[in-house]
Amino acid sequence: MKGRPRASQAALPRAPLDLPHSCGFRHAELEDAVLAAELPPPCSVAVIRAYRLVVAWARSPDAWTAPGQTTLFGWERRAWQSSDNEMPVWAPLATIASELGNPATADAQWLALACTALSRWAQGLGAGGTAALFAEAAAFACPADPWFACAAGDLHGRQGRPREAERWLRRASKVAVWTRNWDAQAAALGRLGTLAREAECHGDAEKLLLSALRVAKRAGLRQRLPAIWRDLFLLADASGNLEEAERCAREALNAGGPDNPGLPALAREMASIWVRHAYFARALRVLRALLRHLATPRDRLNAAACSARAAGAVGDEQAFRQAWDEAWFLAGSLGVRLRTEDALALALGALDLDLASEASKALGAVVASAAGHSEEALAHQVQAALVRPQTKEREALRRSAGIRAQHPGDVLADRLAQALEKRADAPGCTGSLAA
Amino acid sequence: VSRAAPAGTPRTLLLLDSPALRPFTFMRGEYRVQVLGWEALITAARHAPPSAAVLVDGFTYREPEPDPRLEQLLQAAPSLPVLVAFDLASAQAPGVRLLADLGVSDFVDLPIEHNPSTLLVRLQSTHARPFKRRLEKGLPDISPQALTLVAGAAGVAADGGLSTALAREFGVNERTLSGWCARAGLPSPRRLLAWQRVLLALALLEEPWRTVQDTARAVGYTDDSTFRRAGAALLNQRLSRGNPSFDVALAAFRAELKNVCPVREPSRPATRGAGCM
Repeated sequence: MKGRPRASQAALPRAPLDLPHSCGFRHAELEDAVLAAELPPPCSVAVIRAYRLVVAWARSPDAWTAPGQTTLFGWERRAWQSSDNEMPVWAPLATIASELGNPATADAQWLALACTALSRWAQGLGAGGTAALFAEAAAFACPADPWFACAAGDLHGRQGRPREAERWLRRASKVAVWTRNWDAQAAALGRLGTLAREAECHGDAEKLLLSALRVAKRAGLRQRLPAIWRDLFLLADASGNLEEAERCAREALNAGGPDNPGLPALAREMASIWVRHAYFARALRVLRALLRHLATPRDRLNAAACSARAAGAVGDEQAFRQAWDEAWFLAGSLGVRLRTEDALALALGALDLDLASEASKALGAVVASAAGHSEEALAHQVQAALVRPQTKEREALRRSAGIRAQHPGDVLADRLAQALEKRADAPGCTGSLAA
Repeated sequence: VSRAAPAGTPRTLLLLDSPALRPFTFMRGEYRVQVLGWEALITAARHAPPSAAVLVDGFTYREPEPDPRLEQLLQAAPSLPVLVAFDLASAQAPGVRLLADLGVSDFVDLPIEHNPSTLLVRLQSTHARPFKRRLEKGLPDISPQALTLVAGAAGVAADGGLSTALAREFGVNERTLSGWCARAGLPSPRRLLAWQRVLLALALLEEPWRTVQDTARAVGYTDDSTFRRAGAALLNQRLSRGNPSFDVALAAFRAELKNVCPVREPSRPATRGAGCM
């Protein structure tokens, strides 16, 4: 009788460098020791056995011989007892036992899903190594599904293992091409681009992100575009190219619209860049609209301090007062720690408006928060906060000449603010806390 | 015993004479099994070629601590993969951690993995593991593709194979393999393999009971003078026991990789102020 076809046996390209199975390079540590060190004692043995069984089966599904139904069901029963009847552990273990009990009909997809469930359970326990190993086991069990490899790469990336992440994401990208899964390919290339950007390999990052963009556009994957444009925007900023960063931010906004969940982060980063480049009017416009979208008091305090600084620079005392009150409310009533750069931003805003007492209070906070910092770090922050006067003068000149709305950067600021204001209608948005 | 096996010859599995390990006596194919008692096993492991593996049974429920002879074996054969068979349910997680700390390459969970085909998968995945482990630790910044090629070359070097065997390992011809090496920022397959042989020989020579002559033959050289010439060509110095050390030679290999392909170096970071956010 013919059994169900195995997804793991789907024909994959002969690419031992990108699809390493038998020749995978991971020898620095005994994987089982990682599991043994991280897992709680009652169920660790059952989980280690599950990992070993799946990986041994995945290495050579045809040559693998089942330990026998009796042995596996005995193991499953002990797993149920030792896992303290905890369903998140026992259910995937039972799935693995039932699938591997009869290897001829074992379904790779089910095995991979069981491993993914164990990976998530381990993440919940804070067992990062175990979570990564089970994510890899899922990708090994079902090598023809690029999403499992992508998930393994993503997990390694989040846990600060870029080399492992790259290996799995490259594998995901190759498998995605082979199985014509363009969504997974765009996701894997985008994530690889992010990794390269984080490693400051700007050339590689640009190539990968542009590839991801091409794939997403060709396959009509509009939902992937905002994240890729945002990465390109961050890349342009890291390269110091403001115009390119603005262009990428504009594209991200066009692709995602006001409902894009990444819009507040994009607006926040764009405003930060404008503050750094002394385009205070643009930054202020965006920051005022952004404030109500920031969830954590820490982020709100940072945005309020930036708003105060920008408001001071453009001479808008009312906006300064509002941002000032908000910042001190958060720092005082909610007990959020005022960081040096926030205090410095408040002080610079006050100094621009010649508000001596406010400047004195903020500078006092700078001194208090700088305690424990090295002089070098403090000097660096002050240097970064001080703006080139000629840039500020140039903007004031342009504003007075009435050409503000014509500059693409100003148009972008208006569009970002409008998009954020549209989002403000969404339930759960709150206004200023200090008001 | 220490001579590298010609291509196609089975690798050696040194198996402890123990009732629990009887099923593995009937291993076929890639491994030739030698069943020995503890003393003979330790002696054989001292001089075994780097392609060999050892499987012992030194961990039982009544004895939660490993057999002292296991530690003796691990000291006698630091360059061979040593696998320990036991019942995981009896040893529990601390047992696994203890074995890993001791330097065991892998273990066999006897109640579940009692058939020879499962052991074969384990043996293949642990082939030359101690050497590969040292390489992996010493090469932290090369690409995953390059690491896979280096691992393949290390495995072939342990078997005493040539670059044709390396190409066969990846299922391609030598020309394709050369292209892969170039793209991965590695020297040519022949040179890569020569490096792995020399590095493996230097690792083996850290064991004082191995002679230069035997070590050279164990990694595939016809005699010690061929090994010395190959080493001198790669390292620009005359080879002798302990000079250069494995770590110095690995550093030279890393330096060569950087010269072949410096693409893994991060680009110059843009100057960026702390900013407000």
